[in-house]
Parts: sequence; C-alpha cells; structure tokens
Amino acid sequence: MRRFKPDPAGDRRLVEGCLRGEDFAWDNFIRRFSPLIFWAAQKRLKRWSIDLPWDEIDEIRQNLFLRIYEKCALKGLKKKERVAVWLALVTCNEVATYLRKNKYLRRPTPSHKILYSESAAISPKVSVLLEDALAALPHRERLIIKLKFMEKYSYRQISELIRIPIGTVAISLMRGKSKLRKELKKRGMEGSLK
Amino acid sequence: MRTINRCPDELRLLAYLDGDLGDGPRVEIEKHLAGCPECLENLVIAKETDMPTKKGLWNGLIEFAKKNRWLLASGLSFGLSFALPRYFLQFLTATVILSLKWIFDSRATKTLIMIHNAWKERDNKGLHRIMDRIDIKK
Ligand SMILES: [Zn+2]
Repeated sequence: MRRFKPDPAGDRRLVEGCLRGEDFAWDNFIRRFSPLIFWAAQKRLKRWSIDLPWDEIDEIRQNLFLRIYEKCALKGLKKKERVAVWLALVTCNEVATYLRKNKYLRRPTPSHKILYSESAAISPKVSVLLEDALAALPHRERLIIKLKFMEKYSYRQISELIRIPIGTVAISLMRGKSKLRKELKKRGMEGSLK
Repeated sequence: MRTINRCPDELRLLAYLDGDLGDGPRVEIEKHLAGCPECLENLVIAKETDMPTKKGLWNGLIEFAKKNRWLLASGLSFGLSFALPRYFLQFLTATVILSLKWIFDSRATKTLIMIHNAWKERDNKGLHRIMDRIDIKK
C-alpha cells in the first residue's frame, strides 16, 4: 500500500471534522481512505482466490462510504485515531457481504491447506479431517498454530497479537503441534507437519 | 455491519487488537478467532495497515545496543584486555562477569538453567525436552 501513510493525529482531526459536518471534511475523508479500502478489498478477495472486476470493487467502496455516512457509523468509533484499522475491518466485511449477496461465496473457504504443504492442493476430504483434528485442540494452541503456519507470523508477532510472552508462544506451539500430530494419527493421517 | 454466525463486529475486533478488552471478553474473541478463519484473516489484514512507520537504521542500532548492552560491554572489556596488557587479568574477569550478566538478563536464562539441571541429574528425557525447546526457538 504505497499511497497510504499512517497519520493517527490527522485522521482523528478528519473524523472529528466529518462528525461536525465541516465543509469538505467528508470529501477529504473519501479521498484519504479510498486507496486503503481498495487495498483491503483486494487483500480480502485474494485470500478467497476471487477476482472481481474493478468496477465491482469500486461499487463496494461506494456502498461502504454511503453506509458509514447514513448510519453515522463514525460516531460509534471511540478511538478516532484508529479509523484506518477500523475501516480495513469494515472493508473486509463489506466485501464478504457483497460476495454472499451475489453468490460468489457460498461458505467460508477453508484456508488451512497451507498447514500441510503450500503448493500441493489437498483434497476436501483431507482438509475436513485437518480442520476436525485442529478442532480437538484447545483454542489458544489452535489459534497459535494457525497464525504460525497459515499467516507465517513470527513468535514476536504472535506474542504481540495475543498479548502473551514469547516463551509462552513457543511452548504452546510445541504442545499444539504434538497434539495435532496425535489427532491426525487417530484419524489415519501420518502427514509430516512442519 | 456484520451479523452472521455471531462474529464480533469491527469495533470489537479493533478493541481486541488494541488490548482494550478485559480478560473474559478477550478469551471469547480468541475462541472465536481460533474457529472462524474469516475473522482471523480480516484481523490479519487490518493489522497490516497498522504497521509502524519503518524505523531508521540508527534507531534499530540503538535498540539492539540497549537490549544487548551487557554483551557489548563484555566484548569491549575483552578487547581492552588485549589493548592494555598490563590489566589483562582484570579486564578478563570483567569480561566474564559482564557476559554472565548478559546471560542472566536475556531470555536464554531459563534454557541454561534447564540444561544445568538435566546435566546434574543425568536426565536424558529432560535433555530431549530441552533439545525440542531449543529447536523450536529457531
Ligand atoms: Zn467470525
């Protein structure tokens, strides 16, 4: 995202201007955050391997601004300086809503195939088995495994997100991996888990 | 703006990201994230917009120096012991003390203590556990 520079203080002023109904504040808001919304929408689409034509992504963007405006959604945002992160989350949901409405997306795609091997596509049967095995793990270990192997997060990044010490991350991951191996064996899978 | 599957809304996910939730709600969100790939991916995307502006090389160096100040001090002392042969032993002692200080300050401490204990008890199983632990840190 080359064209978007973080500017918490400026963003806060911008949002406050919009809420006060200042002239041009809303125009500036749209100008400032449109690149961010395009970026987030494309990220979201890419993770589902869905290609949307440019004009449809633009439609999503316009709907999003319209909804924020009509619902006065900015009022609910307590931390005005965090508007960019909030907008990225809103964009992802807006994309999902659009895809579901237009039948592009039937159900959340399981993206855990990366856990096994990045290139080889795995059969739906195996992917169901894997999800089933993962579900047997305590939620924190499951979350850490997903962050590590699917999102390629480092220990530091995981520890920052979940807000636990790095050592705890390492230990949970180790435990989680050995539990997952056992669960996979139980289900007749002897795959090599990196 | 989202109601399916009782997924947390954007404000709640933002509060999670910012650490503004109490322990109870935090765990609730964590449980949800562990089972809902969509919300987890949304959070990861949002976090990417949140990257701090790149630190300069200088700041990075200062941070490194602060983190490893004892190691640097011991290196300096080691160098000085050769530069000033008259005080060789004094500086060498300082080197040892400073590097001990570094070891006990750093995260390596726990592992070292575990190795020491296992070695004392000739505990092979424990050693394997430590090997796993070291391996996983890489
Ligand atoms: Zn969800």
